[in-house]
Amino acid sequence: MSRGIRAAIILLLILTVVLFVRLTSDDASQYLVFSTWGTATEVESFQRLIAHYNATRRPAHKVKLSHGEQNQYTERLLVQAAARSLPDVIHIDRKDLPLFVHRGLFKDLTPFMAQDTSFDLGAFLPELLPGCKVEGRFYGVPHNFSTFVLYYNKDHFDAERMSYPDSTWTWQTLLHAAQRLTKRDADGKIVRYGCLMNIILTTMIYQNGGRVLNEALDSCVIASPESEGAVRFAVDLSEKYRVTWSLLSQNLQWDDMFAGGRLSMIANGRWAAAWYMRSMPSGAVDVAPLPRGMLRRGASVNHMMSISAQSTKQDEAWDFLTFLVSEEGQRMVNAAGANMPAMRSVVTSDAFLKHHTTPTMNNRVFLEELPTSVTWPFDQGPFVTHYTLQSQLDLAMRRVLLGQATVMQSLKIMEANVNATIATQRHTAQPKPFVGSLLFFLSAGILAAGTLAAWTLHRRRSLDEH
Amino acid sequence: MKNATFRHALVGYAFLLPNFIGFLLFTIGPILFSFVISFFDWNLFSAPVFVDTANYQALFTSTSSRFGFLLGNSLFFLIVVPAQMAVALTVAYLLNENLRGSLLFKVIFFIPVVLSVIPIAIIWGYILDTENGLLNTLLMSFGVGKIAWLFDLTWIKTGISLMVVWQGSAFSAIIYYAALQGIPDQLYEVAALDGASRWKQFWSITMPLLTPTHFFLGITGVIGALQLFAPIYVMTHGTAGGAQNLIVEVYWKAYQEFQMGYASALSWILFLLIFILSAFYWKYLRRKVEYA
Amino acid sequence: MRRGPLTTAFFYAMLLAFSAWYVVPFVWALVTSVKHPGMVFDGRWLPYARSQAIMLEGKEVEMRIVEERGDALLMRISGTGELREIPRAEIEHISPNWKNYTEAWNIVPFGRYFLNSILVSMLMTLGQLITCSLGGYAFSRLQFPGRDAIFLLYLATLMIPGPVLTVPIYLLLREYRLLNTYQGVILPGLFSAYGTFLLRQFFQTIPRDLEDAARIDGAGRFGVYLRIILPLSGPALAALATFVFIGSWNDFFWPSIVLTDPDMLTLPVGLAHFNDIYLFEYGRLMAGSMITIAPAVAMYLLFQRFITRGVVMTGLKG
Repeated sequence: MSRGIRAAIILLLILTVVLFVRLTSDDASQYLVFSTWGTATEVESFQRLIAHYNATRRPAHKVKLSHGEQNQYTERLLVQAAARSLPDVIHIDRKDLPLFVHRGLFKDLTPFMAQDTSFDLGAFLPELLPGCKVEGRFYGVPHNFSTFVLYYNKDHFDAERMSYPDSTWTWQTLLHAAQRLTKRDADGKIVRYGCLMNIILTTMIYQNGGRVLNEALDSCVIASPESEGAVRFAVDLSEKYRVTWSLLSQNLQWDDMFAGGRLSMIANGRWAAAWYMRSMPSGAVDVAPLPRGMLRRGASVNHMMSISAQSTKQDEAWDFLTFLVSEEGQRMVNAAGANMPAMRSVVTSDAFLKHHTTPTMNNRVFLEELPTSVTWPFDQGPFVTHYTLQSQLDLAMRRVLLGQATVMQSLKIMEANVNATIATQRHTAQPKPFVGSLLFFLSAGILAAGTLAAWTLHRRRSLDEH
Repeated sequence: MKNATFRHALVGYAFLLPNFIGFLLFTIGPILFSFVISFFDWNLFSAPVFVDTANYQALFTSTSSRFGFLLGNSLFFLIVVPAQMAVALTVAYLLNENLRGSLLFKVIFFIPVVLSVIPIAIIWGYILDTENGLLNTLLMSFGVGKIAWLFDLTWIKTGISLMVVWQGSAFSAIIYYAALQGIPDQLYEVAALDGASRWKQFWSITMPLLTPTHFFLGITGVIGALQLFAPIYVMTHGTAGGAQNLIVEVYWKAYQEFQMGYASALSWILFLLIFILSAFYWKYLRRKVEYA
Repeated sequence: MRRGPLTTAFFYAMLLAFSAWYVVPFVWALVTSVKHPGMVFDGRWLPYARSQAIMLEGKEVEMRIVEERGDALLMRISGTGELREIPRAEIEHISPNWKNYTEAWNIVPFGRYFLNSILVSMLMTLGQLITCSLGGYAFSRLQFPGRDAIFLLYLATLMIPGPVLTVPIYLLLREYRLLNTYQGVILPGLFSAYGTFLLRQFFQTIPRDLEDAARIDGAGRFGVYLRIILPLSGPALAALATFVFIGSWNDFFWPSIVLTDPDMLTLPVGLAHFNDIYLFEYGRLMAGSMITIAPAVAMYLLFQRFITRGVVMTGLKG
């Protein structure tokens, strides 16, 4: 028996080790937590920034990085918010900002800005400031952004003796160029696609005068003739003119095909620039402004730094935030090259214009796209998430491409679905009185009775077994 | 006598304790929590509001709940259960024959189990691609037209099912193989002496002796199929695109539309569904299980 | 069983057909993992690279691809802008891009993620072996009130859909300050109803006489557990260990929610974190995935025999 007890103690010790020995101490209250997404190089640059900050400013609470995967970034923040463990400083995209502000999760930064005399709002590109505001108050400070441009393969244009895309290009010019650039083999199969505009489908809706959500961002208005025109053009590119592949195909291949010379033009964001340069022969790729529709509209994503309303270290958070968005901080992160720095002095300097990852590219074009740009892909407002809108748009496009509905019918369905979701979000539940719910007590009663019955049955059966 | 029973009970509970505490804390606790929440309206950020059975009512009566559609999708995916069992059994039978090179085949057949979700999603995303995918290329070489596997509402569930069977059959094959290994050769030899053909041997010896395995794989398969989440979610980049089953809807309502109460109610209905089907399976098919 | 040559041939044919189905997607991934950027989706089964310059009329000329024309490529000479059609074989050659593997290893801190994954998986496996064997023994051999009812409760919980449980478990972890720790990842999965079920089935097949003999010799319940039950359960424990190890090795969703410190991520999460939706490097991602499956395959090969015996003895075969 004693051997048994000894063995039992050993076993329990092992179990205790497994269960309780902490390999890291995560006392979040010891740290100032900064949350961001990012590839390995981006994270590395943030880590260097944090190390520098911790070493030179010696804050009362050291800063610690919390990394979220891009696809789940918003969802994880929301779960953290529900558990009241939101990070203190949060890197956030404009498209998600209203969602968080509406739920009271972010701090109003306007008073901080007013009180901090060393903080200068004018140092940032003015076009980025409206995106940081919700209902006139600032909830974020611009940190970086990215615009969309038309990447094109110069060798293809040279071979066809065509002039390069420029700011005079319209949808028609684009179409004609794409038609000339598309090549087929002897069997009629396309071996080189002219263009790919699928990424900026929603921007094209704006370029034609339409909108996805209304100005107040509380209603879907996509079923308009303008939107229909834009969608029709995008669909025709693949179905009628056959210069691109259908939206029914995977989006995995875009970049690889462009780099491999099987696609001549692609509308994409700044983040693709470095990779295209690396993967293509030197000087083969350059950028041009997006072709205009009825209106000139660019596309941009706007990233900013916010402070959680749940944070207990708001002053320290503000101090770290100002370092992040300072010229020094922005230069450190800019080195990674994933996005463009929001500070005017940095982005208009050679630090960006002659960035080491895109030396031969006409980087100025990225800046020139900003003034006319709309949020990409959706300015989704506080009531719908990105995935809801994306899902509905995908389904709408599929209906059209599979011939199940006309463009307008399909957009009307999308509009109805999105508005239904918005309605559920705006609806505030009315509490019901606890007493007097017949169904509730009925179901509770059934559950209790069932458990009791099962228990008695098993008692009887186990007695029989014994 | 009572003393001994009491001591027995104490020992029993002591053994069970480590397991049970965790079970209580991490399984029962959250389950009870979600049951209670299903009677509230909770958007994760404000306080929950008691709404009685409004969630359940909305589920069954509201048109936007699409309950019939979701139920249909969930039940459709049940098709993977017989499919993967059939494939697994065939594969296991072939392996059991112990042809030369079996070890190599055993490694190959294990590959789907070893790959994690993301590479599988990328690989199958490419296979099922409309323009250049492997499957469509194969179909076109047979003269059949291209199918938009991941986008056409009529085919998306089939496309995802192919991927699920690919992975699920590999796992089940391991279990079938082990079971087949356990059947003594003498049984077959005796039958062969009696003149039974291979086919007959399979149906009169192998299949009956495999009934416990069929039973186990069937029930875990049904439970798993009704809870199919990751393949759908990852293959459609989180948009579900027409292949939503009940569990994807639970996730969607909880984390995309912030209706925790509704999602909890839906998940309890799903649980009831699983429970009923499993109970049915247990009660009626258990009798068919024979033990050697 | 005797087998005629025709049957053997038929069986081989079927084995090959099934192997193809299982292995073709994997081979595609393997080939992709050594492809060069820009050549990943060219639809071919071998990795090709293109030369930037070739020998033309005795001189080395730099040229760039403009168009693909079947067996030839239309190239544009860099200096003059002249267009020439050159046979494919002169420009393209088979060349695996091993840099995908070295880059994947360096850019993503694979070494650390490997260690993290091994740590988590081993702790999870060890923990489950202990708790599930204790629990399984209790359910199969010991008598206490409510035993069968509680066991059915365990079974029923296997049927609960997961997503809704994320928030309450997360809240719990936060209460106990277990977020961003390995315990936070391990604990919720540790008390597995599946594992308990499996081991209970197995323990029931161990003859009672052995136990009774030990009890008569004076061994207590725990002694019996330790010295009779556990040694005889080798195969079943190995089987459970393998399943748990591989399952936790590949687990993605829960660790990605709990772990936020980039140094603590496990392999699948780390792989996903450093390849986001604006991904371009499919070759590198595939290379990374190939690296991650190595331990799981190794584990399987090692324990393959045990799994077979273990499953046999759990009575799944009858």
